[in-house]
Amino acid sequence: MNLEFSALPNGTSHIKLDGDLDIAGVGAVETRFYAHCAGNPPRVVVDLSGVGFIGSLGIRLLLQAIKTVSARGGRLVLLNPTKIVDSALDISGLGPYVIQGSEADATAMLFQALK
Amino acid sequence: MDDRLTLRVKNSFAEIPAANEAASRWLADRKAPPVADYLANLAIEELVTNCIKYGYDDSAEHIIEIELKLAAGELVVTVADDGHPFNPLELSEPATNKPVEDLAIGGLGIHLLRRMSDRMDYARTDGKNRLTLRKSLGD
Repeated sequence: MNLEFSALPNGTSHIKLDGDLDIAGVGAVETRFYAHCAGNPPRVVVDLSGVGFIGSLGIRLLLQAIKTVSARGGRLVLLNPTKIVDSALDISGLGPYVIQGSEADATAMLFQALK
Repeated sequence: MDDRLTLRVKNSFAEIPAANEAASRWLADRKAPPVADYLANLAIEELVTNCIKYGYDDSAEHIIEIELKLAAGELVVTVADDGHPFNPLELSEPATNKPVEDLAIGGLGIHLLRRMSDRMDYARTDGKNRLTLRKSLGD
């Protein structure tokens, strides 16, 4: 499981995950993932286009991050999950945080939500 | 080519990745669609994890048996363990239509399995829990 982080010029955190969000994958990125969900308020785009599998631990990772970011007055969106991961997110109640589109679309959604 | 794969894994988290890889390889050799691979891996990860966490009072080695079967356009996954009797069909479904702040963290594994499969059956026979999931692989 790989995690790439970049801080965009507009203050948004961009986290790209590649691999499987299974037990091993979550264990490999969990600490760094939460650390990057920062900002004041946090604005976070999590690119899931490279994630092929998500289990309940992976859902839990994302849900906890969304809750934490929301509690700090911020917003986190899940960008371009694959079809099967998208289904799992929807079943788990995270559908409203999913966006299919470009990074610019995701950033615009963040700023709109935080107006 | 066999239409059935049986995996026997010990009650150890370290066993899960190899079991998932074996299942994925077997399904790929049979050109099963991605949804079959997803369900098989989800079943192994969630059910073996639950069994290791909650299934046993002792620290002895136990064997959890996973069977994959492809027949008549359907994937059938059966997971059998000798842990405490546990019927996941009796669990109430978590409420997932709430604001995210109110969503419960945890308890989603069985919910995901239930919703990702077409049918889930449970039986307790010969001192073992047997959970069977079915998924149509048709278009």
